[in-house]
Amino acid sequence: MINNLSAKFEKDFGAAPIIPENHVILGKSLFEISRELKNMEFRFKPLAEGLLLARGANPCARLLELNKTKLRNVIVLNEKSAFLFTCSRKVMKKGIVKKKGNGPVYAAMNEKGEILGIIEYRDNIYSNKVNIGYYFEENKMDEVIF
Amino acid sequence: MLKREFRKSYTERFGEDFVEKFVSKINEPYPQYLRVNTLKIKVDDLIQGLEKKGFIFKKIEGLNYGFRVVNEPFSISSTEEYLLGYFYLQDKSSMLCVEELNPKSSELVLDCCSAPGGKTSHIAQLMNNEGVIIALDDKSERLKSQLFNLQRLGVKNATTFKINALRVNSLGLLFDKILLDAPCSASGTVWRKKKRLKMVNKHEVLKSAELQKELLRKCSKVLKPDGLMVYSTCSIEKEENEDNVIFAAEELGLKIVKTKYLFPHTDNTIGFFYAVMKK
Repeated sequence: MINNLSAKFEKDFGAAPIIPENHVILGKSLFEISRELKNMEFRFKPLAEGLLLARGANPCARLLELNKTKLRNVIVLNEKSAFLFTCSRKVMKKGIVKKKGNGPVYAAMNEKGEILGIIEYRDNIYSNKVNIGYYFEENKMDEVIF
Repeated sequence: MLKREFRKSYTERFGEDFVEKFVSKINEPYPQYLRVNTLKIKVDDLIQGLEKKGFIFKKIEGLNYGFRVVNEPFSISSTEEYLLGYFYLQDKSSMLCVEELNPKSSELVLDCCSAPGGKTSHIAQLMNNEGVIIALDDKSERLKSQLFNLQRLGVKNATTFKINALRVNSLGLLFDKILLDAPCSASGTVWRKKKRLKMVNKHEVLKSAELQKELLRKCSKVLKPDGLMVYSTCSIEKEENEDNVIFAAEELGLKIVKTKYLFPHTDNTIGFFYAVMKK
């Protein structure tokens, strides 16, 4: 799983990701855990363990955050555009403060350098692939934690 | 406003003017509190950032990361800071009872009935994301919220199991600390949820009390010798609180270190009770 994740991450963002030493794979999910949690064994399979880093080959906000300085494809959004992005709106060109790399996948950040989600560029449209505002969208809760 | 059976009980237990002051207070707007998530941001950085957006805060006495929201120009939960997990909206009473647990980073801590993860994330914050928290709940919808919350708040030392807390012994673990925030009648939450005034009844209180006793029994068995347990409810009923503490002392052999009631008119929180117990 980690090999597939690393390959896709490198393809999308320009560099292989740093994955924390203390991690665990549960099903198709990769979690960052505390050192003490790594030394524990459980009788039952937990629902979740620690902080989600990736689902399959799809990175979560935490993995992007850990690798922020290595990301080659990044779009920085202005304040208004960043807010709209977290409401799952697509990105307008006038909302882009800075664009680095050639896509088609970009990490979305605000002007403070905080990870907001992932943008996909296709057919001249910057679409909202996933964002931290999914917390508020009940229909998304069944699909993905980012 | 309050049902007669409850008015009588409160007057007998808390004094003549309790009911009048209680009812008067719950007719005022309910205060909003937040806990700064120090796993992700420094207190001053968050507060200053939100103050620039027009929010005004007042610090909670005794908690350097807890604040009351005094002025809210727009919904604070629609800020980026909220979505980034820089703070959690939580009643002051919940923060105070987790403070009593005083979890350490080297410990194995149990959070029974953990969903939606507010107290779990607070425990993680006090443990600096080290050590281990076992979080249990059996309600699917609330567990969904818990997974989102723990992710948003950056908690990496908690493991969530979908298990009823009555089966805690099946994990085969003994804990240094246990937080038992037990399911209850929620009679103390009427300030936040006025409909509870009509819904709560004595039958529900007695049924809750029996479940709570069983949870106390199960939890006491998985607490290490010298371990600490904090039992809490958002109820102000004797059967769910004082009576259960007496049960814990007399039947389970736990030593009662401290008990505390919190009320809207004295503490500016929902009605809440917690007891700190040692094995």
